[in-house]
Amino acid sequence: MKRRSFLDHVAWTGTGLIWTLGAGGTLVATAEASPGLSFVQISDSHIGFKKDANPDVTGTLTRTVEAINALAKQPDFVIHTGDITHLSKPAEFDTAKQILGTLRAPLMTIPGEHDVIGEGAATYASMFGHRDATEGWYSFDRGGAHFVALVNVFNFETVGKLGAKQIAWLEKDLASVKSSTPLVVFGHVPLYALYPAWGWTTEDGAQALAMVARFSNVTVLNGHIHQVFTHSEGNIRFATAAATAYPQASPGAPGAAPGPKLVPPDQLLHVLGYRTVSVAGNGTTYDDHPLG
Amino acid sequence: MKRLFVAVAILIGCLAASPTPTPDAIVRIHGFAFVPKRIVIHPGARVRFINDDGDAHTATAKDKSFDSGGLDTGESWDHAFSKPGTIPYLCALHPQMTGTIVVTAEEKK
Repeated sequence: MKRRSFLDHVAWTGTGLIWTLGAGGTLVATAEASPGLSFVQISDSHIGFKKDANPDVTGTLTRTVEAINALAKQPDFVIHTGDITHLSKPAEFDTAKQILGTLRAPLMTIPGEHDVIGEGAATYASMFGHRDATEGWYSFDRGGAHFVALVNVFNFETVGKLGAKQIAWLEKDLASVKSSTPLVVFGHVPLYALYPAWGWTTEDGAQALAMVARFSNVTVLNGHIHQVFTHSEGNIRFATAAATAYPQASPGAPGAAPGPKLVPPDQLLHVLGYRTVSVAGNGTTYDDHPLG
Repeated sequence: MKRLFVAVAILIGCLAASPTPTPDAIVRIHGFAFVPKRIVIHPGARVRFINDDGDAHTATAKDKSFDSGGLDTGESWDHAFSKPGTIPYLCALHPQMTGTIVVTAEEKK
């Protein structure tokens, strides 16, 4: 086999590495052979909310969708990381569906605790459930990366819990994924103890994080806290997203509570927004885009 | 037939105008807490949960025997408790918020 053909062959067989010719003619593995992709994360739209913190949440979600549709390069998909609605009412889901239905890119979602109040879980599943998600959670491979969409809001006594069944599923799901594969994990409530006093944690999240620790490139994207907050543990990078509805106080702000935060009307669009994410073999990068 | 329509219209009007029964106890939701946190009532008593808070909440029994559903700021929900017992409940959106309803035929202490 000629050297050129050999190089083509190892690239085609998808060993997970890009091979380059190093000094002395030796082959050097430099990075994951990933074609890469881009996607957009949006979160916490709270359709149905109409208090002073944002009297027009349908307007700000519409504005978000318009901004995404105007991107020069359309993302491979848009993921909504939960709290699509405020009170799980069918009319709220319907309004959200109409607005999100105008996205040019395919939409995926996971529920937040506001989407599963009472009978809301069934309504959510019928209107937004992923076709491959019999239990609510799901995974998929795209662009050389592995994506896992977790649900940590189904236990009404502990918002922020995955449960033994989902953790067992995750272990099985990740078993066949190579550690060099870029991994992106979605969940509504932060998977680590961001601020437990306000419920900003996942009780059994550490079990899931232990399973992903072996991966060299892990990005965990959450919503729930209505603000951008970043954190890292080993190879795992965490980033919560801004809401499209209203902001919340900084974790543990003196005298504050984890509810809607009132900001001057002319400042509102500056604290709402969406996130563009690029996934490639040599790393995952993201940019947050305020609406104003 | 016209008289029947008029009678039905009057009946609907009366029903619509009927005042909501006065509750026997009130639990206010304020500052991410149920206030009071524990109430003692007699069987058959009606409890009104009023959300005075800036965020949405629920009053949901841990055994699911009652569930207000989502209560937005300013909304309220009534529930009558018929069977004696102690019922712990919480907010399904903020489970750190907890309360207890004690239904007993004995005199309140």
